[in-house]
Amino acid sequence: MTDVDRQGEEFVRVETASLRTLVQYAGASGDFYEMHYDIPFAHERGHRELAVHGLLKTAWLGRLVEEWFSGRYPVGHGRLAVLDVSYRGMDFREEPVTCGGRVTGQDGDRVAVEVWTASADGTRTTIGTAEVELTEGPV
Amino acid sequence: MTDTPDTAGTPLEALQAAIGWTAEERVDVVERRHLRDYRRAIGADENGTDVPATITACFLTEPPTMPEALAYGLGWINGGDRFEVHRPLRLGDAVTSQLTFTGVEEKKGRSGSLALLTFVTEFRLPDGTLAVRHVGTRVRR
Repeated sequence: MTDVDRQGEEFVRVETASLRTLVQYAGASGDFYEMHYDIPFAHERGHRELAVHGLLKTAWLGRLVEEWFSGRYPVGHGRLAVLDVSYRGMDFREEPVTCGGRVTGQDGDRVAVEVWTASADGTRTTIGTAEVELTEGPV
Repeated sequence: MTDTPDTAGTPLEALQAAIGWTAEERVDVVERRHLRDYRRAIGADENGTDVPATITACFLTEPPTMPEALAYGLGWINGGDRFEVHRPLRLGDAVTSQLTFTGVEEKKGRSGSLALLTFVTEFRLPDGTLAVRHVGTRVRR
């Protein structure tokens, strides 16, 4: 079993959703709620801009964690087993969203990771945890 | 769906009575073109063949169509998502799922009332194996 010796290490990536990104995500996911691409609709509901899908932010976090682990261990030797997030604020198109992760511990073959997204002013708009399962061979 | 339910009582009471509501069962296949589109949308290499753990988000009916939810408040906000991956999905997998409404909690804040709705969806392979369990918290306000 591979042991994680990087407890406390943070890894971050900045993502920015354009209108194209939001439409691509709507098309791929099937979530066509107008708040993500119809600016008058968003304004009517009190939002200053088009909102980034919460599930797109979750997908960014999932990719961040998966790629961070795959960059440090042989391909297929770690898999994302749990991703659990709570949305605390909205993010909007063309505004940078910092996606972060930090290894917080290990219990057997499970590595615990804190994850978050933050808007440009540093406000955490998503908080959560992930669990990565370490395996002996490809999953 | 935009119809509102024909129920007596408050919208919250209607939501409480709706616990156990299920959406139609659906079957989705992890197809190459769809995987490419999803990977591109989330910023991954579109030519990759690894199936992201979150792809079952595409197999949820979002926002949920439950009439009792649409009768409460004016719009949706996503409150949270939990993916439990028991068996990673692969290209070609077919998954059967059915969204179930499992709970509601009303909160009152400065900007008015909101309802936190919990939906659970299990994605199973043709042999019945649980591949992914998703718990979604959706907010109506």
